Amino acid sequence: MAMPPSRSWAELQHDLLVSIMTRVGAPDLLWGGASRACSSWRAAARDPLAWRRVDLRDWVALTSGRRAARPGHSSSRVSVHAALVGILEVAAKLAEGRIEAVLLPEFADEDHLLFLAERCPNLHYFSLPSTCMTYDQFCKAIGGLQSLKGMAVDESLINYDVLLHVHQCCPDFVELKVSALYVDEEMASVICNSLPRLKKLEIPSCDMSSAAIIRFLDCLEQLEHLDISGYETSAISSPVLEKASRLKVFLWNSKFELGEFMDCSNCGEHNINPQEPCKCMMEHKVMDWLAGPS
Amino acid sequence: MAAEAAAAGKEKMRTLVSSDFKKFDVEESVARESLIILNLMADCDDSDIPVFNVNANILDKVIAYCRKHASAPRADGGDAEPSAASNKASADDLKSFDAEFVDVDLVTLLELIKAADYLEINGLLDLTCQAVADMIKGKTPEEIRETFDIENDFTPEEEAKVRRENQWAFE
Repeated sequence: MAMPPSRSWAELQHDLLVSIMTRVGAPDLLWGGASRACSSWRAAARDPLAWRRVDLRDWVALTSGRRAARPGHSSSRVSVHAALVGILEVAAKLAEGRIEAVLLPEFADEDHLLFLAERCPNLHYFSLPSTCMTYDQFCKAIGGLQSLKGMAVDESLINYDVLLHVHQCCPDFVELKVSALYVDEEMASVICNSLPRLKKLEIPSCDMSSAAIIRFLDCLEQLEHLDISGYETSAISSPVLEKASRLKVFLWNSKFELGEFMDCSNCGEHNINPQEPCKCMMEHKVMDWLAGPS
Repeated sequence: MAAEAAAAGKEKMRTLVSSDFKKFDVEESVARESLIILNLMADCDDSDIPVFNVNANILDKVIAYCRKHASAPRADGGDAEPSAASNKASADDLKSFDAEFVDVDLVTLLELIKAADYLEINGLLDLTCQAVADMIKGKTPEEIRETFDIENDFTPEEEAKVRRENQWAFE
Protein backbone atom coordinates (compact mmCIF):
# COMPACT_ATOMS: atom_id res chain seq x y z
CA MET A 1 0.00 0.00 0.00
CA ALA A 2 1.39 3.38 -1.00
CA MET A 3 2.16 5.85 1.75
CA PRO A 4 -0.16 8.82 2.17
CA PRO A 5 1.58 11.48 0.04
CA SER A 6 1.90 13.92 2.93
CA ARG A 7 4.18 11.54 4.82
CA SER A 8 6.23 10.10 1.97
CA TRP A 9 9.19 12.50 1.89
CA ALA A 10 9.44 12.58 5.67
CA GLU A 11 9.40 8.80 5.78
CA LEU A 12 11.88 8.12 3.00
CA GLN A 13 14.48 5.62 4.22
CA HIS A 14 17.21 7.23 6.28
CA ASP A 15 20.03 6.17 3.96
CA LEU A 16 18.26 7.71 0.96
CA LEU A 17 17.70 10.97 2.84
CA VAL A 18 21.40 10.91 3.68
CA SER A 19 22.22 10.42 -0.02
CA ILE A 20 20.25 13.58 -0.71
CA MET A 21 21.84 15.49 2.18
CA THR A 22 25.36 14.69 0.98
CA ARG A 23 24.52 16.78 -2.09
CA VAL A 24 22.93 19.74 -0.31
CA GLY A 25 25.88 21.68 1.08
CA ALA A 26 27.03 23.06 4.40
CA PRO A 27 24.92 26.25 4.64
CA ASP A 28 21.65 24.33 4.34
CA LEU A 29 22.83 21.50 6.57
CA LEU A 30 23.89 23.89 9.32
CA TRP A 31 21.11 26.49 9.37
CA GLY A 32 18.90 26.01 6.36
CA GLY A 33 15.64 24.23 5.84
CA ALA A 34 17.28 20.89 5.14
CA SER A 35 18.09 20.25 8.78
CA ARG A 36 14.96 21.75 10.28
CA ALA A 37 12.00 20.62 8.17
CA CYS A 38 11.18 17.62 10.39
CA SER A 39 12.91 15.16 12.70
CA SER A 40 13.81 12.58 10.04
CA TRP A 41 15.38 15.22 7.80
CA ARG A 42 17.29 16.58 10.78
CA ALA A 43 18.61 13.11 11.59
CA ALA A 44 19.77 12.70 7.98
CA ALA A 45 21.36 16.15 7.92
CA ARG A 46 23.36 15.25 11.02
CA ASP A 47 24.43 11.80 9.81
CA PRO A 48 28.24 11.48 9.63
CA LEU A 49 27.97 10.40 6.00
CA ALA A 50 26.44 13.78 5.10
CA TRP A 51 29.62 15.42 6.35
CA ARG A 52 32.28 13.50 4.48
CA ARG A 53 32.64 16.34 1.99
CA VAL A 54 32.46 19.92 3.26
CA ASP A 55 32.34 22.86 0.86
CA LEU A 56 32.91 26.17 2.67
CA ARG A 57 34.12 28.21 -0.30
CA ASP A 58 31.02 30.40 -0.41
CA TRP A 59 31.45 32.19 2.91
CA VAL A 60 28.77 34.73 2.04
CA ALA A 61 26.19 31.94 1.69
CA LEU A 62 27.34 30.50 4.99
CA THR A 63 27.11 33.73 6.92
CA SER A 64 23.86 34.87 5.33
CA GLY A 65 22.42 31.44 6.09
CA ARG A 66 23.30 31.92 9.74
CA ARG A 67 21.78 35.39 9.82
CA ALA A 68 18.59 34.08 8.25
CA ALA A 69 18.39 31.42 10.94
CA ARG A 70 18.43 34.07 13.66
CA PRO A 71 16.89 37.29 12.36
CA GLY A 72 17.49 40.27 14.57
CA HIS A 73 20.43 38.76 16.35
CA SER A 74 23.30 41.18 16.76
CA SER A 75 26.22 40.89 14.42
CA SER A 76 28.93 38.34 15.03
CA ARG A 77 31.23 38.92 17.97
CA VAL A 78 34.07 36.79 16.64
CA SER A 79 36.45 37.20 13.72
CA VAL A 80 35.85 35.35 10.48
CA HIS A 81 39.02 33.42 11.23
CA ALA A 82 37.64 32.15 14.54
CA ALA A 83 34.19 31.62 13.02
CA LEU A 84 35.72 29.33 10.40
CA VAL A 85 37.39 27.32 13.16
CA GLY A 86 33.97 27.04 14.80
CA ILE A 87 32.39 25.77 11.59
CA LEU A 88 35.20 23.26 11.12
CA GLU A 89 34.67 22.14 14.71
CA VAL A 90 30.97 21.51 14.04
CA ALA A 91 31.70 19.74 10.76
CA ALA A 92 34.41 17.55 12.28
CA LYS A 93 32.13 16.61 15.15
CA LEU A 94 29.20 15.75 12.90
CA ALA A 95 31.51 13.74 10.63
CA GLU A 96 32.86 11.95 13.71
CA GLY A 97 36.33 13.02 12.62
CA ARG A 98 35.97 11.36 9.21
CA ILE A 99 35.77 14.31 6.83
CA GLU A 100 37.29 13.22 3.53
CA ALA A 101 37.29 16.44 1.52
CA VAL A 102 37.25 20.10 2.54
CA LEU A 103 37.02 23.12 0.26
CA LEU A 104 38.07 26.17 2.27
CA PRO A 105 37.19 29.84 1.70
CA GLU A 106 39.76 32.33 0.42
CA PHE A 107 40.72 33.73 3.82
CA ALA A 108 41.50 30.31 5.32
CA ASP A 109 45.12 29.81 6.29
CA GLU A 110 47.51 27.19 7.63
CA ASP A 111 45.93 27.36 11.11
CA HIS A 112 42.72 25.97 9.65
CA LEU A 113 44.63 23.26 7.83
CA LEU A 114 46.44 22.38 11.07
CA PHE A 115 43.08 22.16 12.83
CA LEU A 116 41.84 19.76 10.17
CA ALA A 117 44.99 17.65 10.38
CA GLU A 118 44.43 17.25 14.12
CA ARG A 119 40.70 16.55 13.99
CA CYS A 120 40.34 14.72 10.65
CA PRO A 121 43.60 12.86 10.02
CA ASN A 122 42.02 10.70 7.30
CA LEU A 123 41.41 13.70 5.05
CA HIS A 124 41.79 12.77 1.37
CA TYR A 125 41.54 16.18 -0.30
CA PHE A 126 41.56 19.86 0.53
CA SER A 127 41.31 23.10 -1.39
CA LEU A 128 43.15 26.02 0.22
CA PRO A 129 43.25 29.11 -2.04
CA SER A 130 45.37 31.30 0.28
CA THR A 131 48.18 33.10 -1.52
CA CYS A 132 50.29 33.78 1.57
CA MET A 133 51.12 30.78 3.70
CA THR A 134 54.10 29.92 5.83
CA TYR A 135 55.88 26.85 4.52
CA ASP A 136 56.70 25.54 8.00
CA GLN A 137 53.11 25.48 9.23
CA PHE A 138 51.83 24.09 5.95
CA CYS A 139 54.37 21.27 6.08
CA LYS A 140 53.50 20.60 9.71
CA ALA A 141 49.83 20.18 8.74
CA ILE A 142 50.77 17.95 5.81
CA GLY A 143 52.70 15.75 8.24
CA GLY A 144 49.40 14.91 9.94
CA LEU A 145 47.53 14.15 6.70
CA GLN A 146 49.05 10.85 5.65
CA SER A 147 45.91 9.71 3.82
CA LEU A 148 45.96 12.76 1.55
CA LYS A 149 45.34 11.97 -2.11
CA GLY A 150 45.03 15.44 -3.58
CA MET A 151 45.00 19.15 -2.97
CA ALA A 152 44.19 22.44 -4.67
CA VAL A 153 46.60 25.26 -3.79
CA ASP A 154 48.01 28.56 -5.00
CA GLU A 155 51.22 28.74 -7.00
CA SER A 156 52.95 30.28 -3.98
CA LEU A 157 53.13 26.75 -2.56
CA ILE A 158 54.75 25.29 -5.68
CA ASN A 159 58.17 24.87 -4.15
CA TYR A 160 60.37 21.80 -4.40
CA ASP A 161 60.86 21.29 -0.66
CA VAL A 162 57.16 21.77 0.13
CA LEU A 163 55.96 19.41 -2.58
CA LEU A 164 58.65 16.85 -1.77
CA HIS A 165 57.39 16.90 1.81
CA VAL A 166 53.89 16.15 0.49
CA HIS A 167 55.30 13.30 -1.59
CA GLN A 168 57.17 11.87 1.39
CA CYS A 169 54.35 12.17 3.94
CA CYS A 170 51.42 11.17 1.71
CA PRO A 171 52.05 7.87 -0.10
CA ASP A 172 48.70 7.99 -1.91
CA PHE A 173 49.06 11.55 -3.23
CA VAL A 174 48.12 11.55 -6.93
CA GLU A 175 46.11 14.71 -7.62
CA LEU A 176 47.20 18.37 -7.79
CA LYS A 177 45.35 21.51 -8.78
CA VAL A 178 47.24 24.81 -8.98
CA SER A 179 45.98 28.38 -9.26
CA ALA A 180 48.63 30.16 -11.30
CA LEU A 181 48.88 33.01 -13.78
CA TYR A 182 51.80 31.59 -15.71
CA VAL A 183 53.66 28.29 -15.66
CA ASP A 184 57.07 27.98 -17.24
CA GLU A 185 59.35 25.00 -17.63
CA GLU A 186 61.03 25.66 -14.30
CA MET A 187 57.77 25.44 -12.34
CA ALA A 188 56.80 22.38 -14.35
CA SER A 189 60.11 20.78 -13.39
CA VAL A 190 59.51 21.47 -9.70
CA ILE A 191 56.16 19.71 -9.87
CA CYS A 192 57.49 16.77 -11.90
CA ASN A 193 60.58 16.24 -9.77
CA SER A 194 58.82 16.45 -6.41
CA LEU A 195 55.53 14.68 -7.28
CA PRO A 196 56.51 12.11 -9.93
CA ARG A 197 53.47 9.88 -9.33
CA LEU A 198 50.77 12.43 -10.20
CA LYS A 199 47.79 10.97 -12.07
CA LYS A 200 45.70 14.14 -12.24
CA LEU A 201 46.98 17.67 -12.79
CA GLU A 202 44.75 20.72 -13.13
CA ILE A 203 46.12 24.18 -13.89
CA PRO A 204 43.10 25.97 -15.37
CA SER A 205 42.98 29.51 -16.77
CA CYS A 206 46.74 29.76 -16.87
CA ASP A 207 49.16 30.93 -19.53
CA MET A 208 51.61 28.10 -20.04
CA SER A 209 54.67 27.68 -22.19
CA SER A 210 54.89 24.85 -24.68
CA ALA A 211 58.00 23.58 -22.91
CA ALA A 212 56.07 23.37 -19.62
CA ILE A 213 53.27 21.31 -21.15
CA ILE A 214 55.74 19.00 -22.84
CA ARG A 215 57.64 18.66 -19.57
CA PHE A 216 54.49 17.50 -17.80
CA LEU A 217 53.66 15.05 -20.56
CA ASP A 218 57.20 13.68 -20.76
CA CYS A 219 57.96 13.38 -17.05
CA LEU A 220 54.68 12.45 -15.35
CA GLU A 221 54.53 8.88 -16.61
CA GLN A 222 51.43 7.94 -14.63
CA LEU A 223 49.47 11.04 -15.64
CA GLU A 224 45.93 10.23 -16.80
CA HIS A 225 44.14 13.57 -16.55
CA LEU A 226 45.52 16.97 -17.55
CA ASP A 227 43.33 20.07 -17.42
CA ILE A 228 44.88 23.26 -18.79
CA SER A 229 41.60 24.67 -20.09
CA GLY A 230 40.28 28.18 -19.73
CA TYR A 231 43.10 30.04 -21.44
CA GLU A 232 43.58 30.22 -25.18
CA THR A 233 47.18 29.13 -25.22
CA SER A 234 49.37 29.30 -28.27
CA ALA A 235 51.38 26.43 -26.83
CA ILE A 236 49.02 23.73 -28.11
CA SER A 237 50.80 22.16 -31.05
CA SER A 238 50.78 18.82 -32.80
CA PRO A 239 53.73 17.46 -30.77
CA VAL A 240 51.77 18.35 -27.63
CA LEU A 241 48.63 16.68 -28.93
CA GLU A 242 50.55 13.61 -29.93
CA LYS A 243 52.13 13.27 -26.49
CA ALA A 244 48.77 13.95 -24.85
CA SER A 245 47.02 11.22 -26.81
CA ARG A 246 48.04 8.72 -24.12
CA LEU A 247 45.91 10.54 -21.53
CA LYS A 248 42.38 9.50 -20.61
CA VAL A 249 41.36 13.14 -20.26
CA PHE A 250 43.03 16.19 -21.81
CA LEU A 251 41.22 19.52 -21.49
CA TRP A 252 42.58 22.56 -23.33
CA ASN A 253 41.65 25.61 -25.39
CA SER A 254 43.71 26.70 -28.34
CA LYS A 255 44.24 30.11 -29.86
CA PHE A 256 44.37 28.59 -33.32
CA GLU A 257 41.55 27.45 -35.54
CA LEU A 258 41.20 23.93 -36.83
CA GLY A 259 44.30 22.78 -38.63
CA GLU A 260 46.40 25.85 -37.98
CA PHE A 261 49.56 24.82 -36.19
CA MET A 262 52.96 26.29 -35.71
CA ASP A 263 54.58 22.89 -35.94
CA CYS A 264 53.75 19.79 -37.85
CA SER A 265 54.75 16.42 -36.48
CA ASN A 266 54.77 14.77 -39.88
CA CYS A 267 57.10 16.80 -42.03
CA GLY A 268 58.84 18.50 -39.12
CA GLU A 269 58.77 21.85 -40.88
CA HIS A 270 58.29 24.96 -38.80
CA ASN A 271 55.41 26.71 -40.45
CA ILE A 272 56.39 30.34 -40.91
CA ASN A 273 52.82 31.50 -41.40
CA PRO A 274 50.79 30.35 -38.36
CA GLN A 275 47.58 31.38 -40.10
CA GLU A 276 47.93 28.63 -42.69
CA PRO A 277 47.77 24.91 -41.99
CA CYS A 278 50.77 22.77 -42.72
CA LYS A 279 50.40 21.25 -46.13
CA CYS A 280 51.23 17.67 -45.32
CA MET A 281 48.65 15.16 -44.20
CA MET A 282 47.80 15.14 -40.53
CA GLU A 283 47.79 11.89 -38.68
CA HIS A 284 44.33 10.56 -37.97
CA LYS A 285 44.87 10.55 -34.23
CA VAL A 286 45.86 14.20 -34.27
CA MET A 287 42.77 15.05 -36.28
CA ASP A 288 40.60 13.43 -33.64
CA TRP A 289 41.99 15.76 -31.03
CA LEU A 290 41.25 18.77 -33.20
CA ALA A 291 37.57 18.22 -32.53
CA GLY A 292 38.08 19.83 -29.14
CA PRO A 293 37.92 18.81 -25.48
CA SER A 294 36.03 15.61 -24.78
CA MET B 1 18.17 2.16 -39.25
CA ALA B 2 17.93 -1.28 -40.86
CA ALA B 3 21.30 -2.24 -39.41
CA GLU B 4 20.20 -0.95 -36.04
CA ALA B 5 17.00 -3.00 -36.23
CA ALA B 6 19.01 -6.04 -37.25
CA ALA B 7 21.39 -5.52 -34.34
CA ALA B 8 18.46 -5.07 -31.97
CA GLY B 9 16.89 -8.20 -33.37
CA LYS B 10 20.00 -10.18 -32.58
CA GLU B 11 20.12 -9.14 -28.95
CA LYS B 12 18.44 -11.34 -26.39
CA MET B 13 15.28 -9.91 -24.85
CA ARG B 14 14.11 -10.35 -21.29
CA THR B 15 10.66 -9.74 -19.86
CA LEU B 16 10.33 -7.63 -16.71
CA VAL B 17 7.09 -7.72 -14.72
CA SER B 18 6.00 -4.73 -12.64
CA SER B 19 4.15 -4.81 -9.32
CA ASP B 20 0.84 -4.35 -11.15
CA PHE B 21 1.76 -7.27 -13.45
CA LYS B 22 2.49 -5.31 -16.62
CA LYS B 23 5.16 -6.87 -18.82
CA PHE B 24 8.08 -5.01 -20.42
CA ASP B 25 10.36 -6.55 -23.03
CA VAL B 26 13.88 -5.24 -22.56
CA GLU B 27 17.22 -5.89 -24.26
CA GLU B 28 19.59 -7.71 -21.92
CA SER B 29 22.19 -4.95 -22.16
CA VAL B 30 19.57 -2.46 -20.97
CA ALA B 31 18.36 -4.67 -18.12
CA ARG B 32 21.94 -5.14 -16.97
CA GLU B 33 22.09 -1.49 -15.91
CA SER B 34 20.38 -2.69 -12.74
CA LEU B 35 22.61 -4.79 -10.49
CA ILE B 36 19.55 -6.45 -8.98
CA ILE B 37 18.12 -7.42 -12.35
CA LEU B 38 21.55 -8.61 -13.45
CA ASN B 39 21.47 -11.08 -10.56
CA LEU B 40 17.84 -12.01 -11.12
CA MET B 41 18.58 -12.80 -14.78
CA ALA B 42 21.01 -15.48 -13.64
CA ASP B 43 18.37 -16.96 -11.30
CA CYS B 44 15.39 -16.74 -13.66
CA ASP B 45 16.99 -18.33 -16.75
CA ASP B 46 14.55 -17.55 -19.53
CA SER B 47 11.45 -16.92 -17.46
CA ASP B 48 9.91 -13.54 -16.66
CA ILE B 49 11.82 -11.42 -14.15
CA PRO B 50 9.65 -10.09 -11.30
CA VAL B 51 10.23 -6.46 -10.33
CA PHE B 52 7.47 -6.36 -7.77
CA ASN B 53 8.61 -3.31 -5.83
CA VAL B 54 8.14 -1.03 -8.84
CA ASN B 55 4.86 -0.17 -10.57
CA ALA B 56 4.44 -0.02 -14.34
CA ASN B 57 4.56 3.77 -14.64
CA ILE B 58 7.86 4.03 -12.78
CA LEU B 59 9.34 0.89 -14.35
CA ASP B 60 8.63 2.33 -17.79
CA LYS B 61 10.60 5.47 -16.91
CA VAL B 62 13.43 3.47 -15.35
CA ILE B 63 13.72 1.36 -18.48
CA ALA B 64 13.86 4.52 -20.62
CA TYR B 65 16.73 5.79 -18.46
CA CYS B 66 18.59 2.47 -18.65
CA ARG B 67 18.06 2.23 -22.40
CA LYS B 68 19.50 5.72 -22.90
CA HIS B 69 22.49 5.14 -20.66
CA ALA B 70 23.19 1.63 -21.95
CA SER B 71 23.53 3.04 -25.47
CA ALA B 72 25.77 5.95 -24.44
CA PRO B 73 29.49 5.42 -25.13
CA ARG B 74 31.47 4.80 -21.96
CA ALA B 75 33.94 7.48 -20.96
CA ASP B 76 36.71 4.91 -20.72
CA GLY B 77 35.43 2.74 -23.57
CA GLY B 78 37.83 0.20 -25.04
CA ASP B 79 40.61 0.46 -27.56
CA ALA B 80 38.46 1.75 -30.38
CA GLU B 81 38.37 5.28 -29.07
CA PRO B 82 35.54 7.44 -30.42
CA SER B 83 36.56 10.92 -31.49
CA ALA B 84 36.50 13.78 -29.01
CA ALA B 85 33.76 15.45 -31.01
CA SER B 86 31.38 12.52 -30.78
CA ASN B 87 32.25 12.15 -27.10
CA LYS B 88 31.28 15.74 -26.47
CA ALA B 89 28.09 15.52 -28.52
CA SER B 90 26.93 12.37 -26.77
CA ALA B 91 27.80 13.80 -23.34
CA ASP B 92 25.70 16.90 -24.07
CA ASP B 93 22.87 14.73 -25.36
CA LEU B 94 22.97 12.61 -22.22
CA LYS B 95 23.05 15.69 -20.01
CA SER B 96 19.94 17.16 -21.62
CA PHE B 97 18.21 13.76 -21.47
CA ASP B 98 18.97 13.57 -17.74
CA ALA B 99 17.75 17.12 -17.12
CA GLU B 100 14.44 16.34 -18.82
CA PHE B 101 14.22 13.00 -17.06
CA VAL B 102 14.11 14.53 -13.57
CA ASP B 103 11.78 17.34 -14.61
CA VAL B 104 8.81 15.51 -13.08
CA ASP B 105 6.41 15.96 -10.18
CA LEU B 106 7.67 15.22 -6.68
CA VAL B 107 5.59 12.06 -6.22
CA THR B 108 7.18 10.57 -9.34
CA LEU B 109 10.64 11.75 -8.28
CA LEU B 110 10.20 10.08 -4.88
CA GLU B 111 9.23 6.80 -6.54
CA LEU B 112 12.18 7.04 -8.94
CA ILE B 113 14.58 7.40 -6.00
CA LYS B 114 13.12 4.35 -4.32
CA ALA B 115 13.24 2.35 -7.55
CA ALA B 116 16.85 3.36 -8.26
CA ASP B 117 17.79 2.29 -4.75
CA TYR B 118 15.89 -1.00 -4.86
CA LEU B 119 17.21 -1.89 -8.33
CA GLU B 120 20.72 -0.60 -7.52
CA ILE B 121 21.03 1.68 -10.53
CA ASN B 122 23.74 3.96 -9.20
CA GLY B 123 23.68 6.56 -11.98
CA LEU B 124 19.93 7.01 -11.60
CA LEU B 125 20.22 7.27 -7.82
CA ASP B 126 22.88 9.99 -8.19
CA LEU B 127 20.75 11.86 -10.70
CA THR B 128 17.52 11.77 -8.69
CA CYS B 129 19.15 12.58 -5.34
CA GLN B 130 20.93 15.55 -6.93
CA ALA B 131 17.63 16.79 -8.34
CA VAL B 132 16.07 16.77 -4.86
CA ALA B 133 19.14 18.40 -3.32
CA ASP B 134 18.91 21.20 -5.87
CA MET B 135 15.30 21.80 -4.79
CA ILE B 136 16.32 21.95 -1.13
CA LYS B 137 19.15 24.46 -1.43
CA GLY B 138 18.41 27.94 -0.16
CA LYS B 139 14.96 27.12 1.21
CA THR B 140 13.64 27.85 4.70
CA PRO B 141 12.10 25.01 6.75
CA GLU B 142 8.65 26.43 6.01
CA GLU B 143 9.30 26.48 2.28
CA ILE B 144 10.57 22.90 2.36
CA ARG B 145 7.53 21.70 4.29
CA GLU B 146 5.31 23.35 1.72
CA THR B 147 7.25 22.07 -1.31
CA PHE B 148 7.60 18.50 -0.08
CA ASP B 149 4.34 18.35 1.86
CA ILE B 150 6.11 17.56 5.13
CA GLU B 151 4.55 17.87 8.56
CA ASN B 152 6.53 19.64 11.27
CA ASP B 153 6.84 16.95 13.94
CA PHE B 154 9.05 18.93 16.34
CA THR B 155 7.67 19.92 19.73
CA PRO B 156 8.00 23.67 20.44
CA GLU B 157 10.92 22.89 22.77
CA GLU B 158 12.64 20.75 20.14
CA GLU B 159 12.13 23.40 17.49
CA ALA B 160 13.70 26.07 19.69
CA LYS B 161 16.64 23.76 20.37
CA VAL B 162 17.06 22.94 16.68
CA ARG B 163 16.94 26.61 15.78
CA ARG B 164 19.79 27.37 18.19
CA GLU B 165 21.82 24.43 16.90
CA ASN B 166 25.32 25.24 15.60
CA GLN B 167 24.89 28.92 16.42
CA TRP B 168 27.75 28.71 18.89
CA ALA B 169 30.14 28.42 15.96
CA PHE B 170 29.74 32.18 15.58
CA GLU B 171 29.20 33.18 19.20
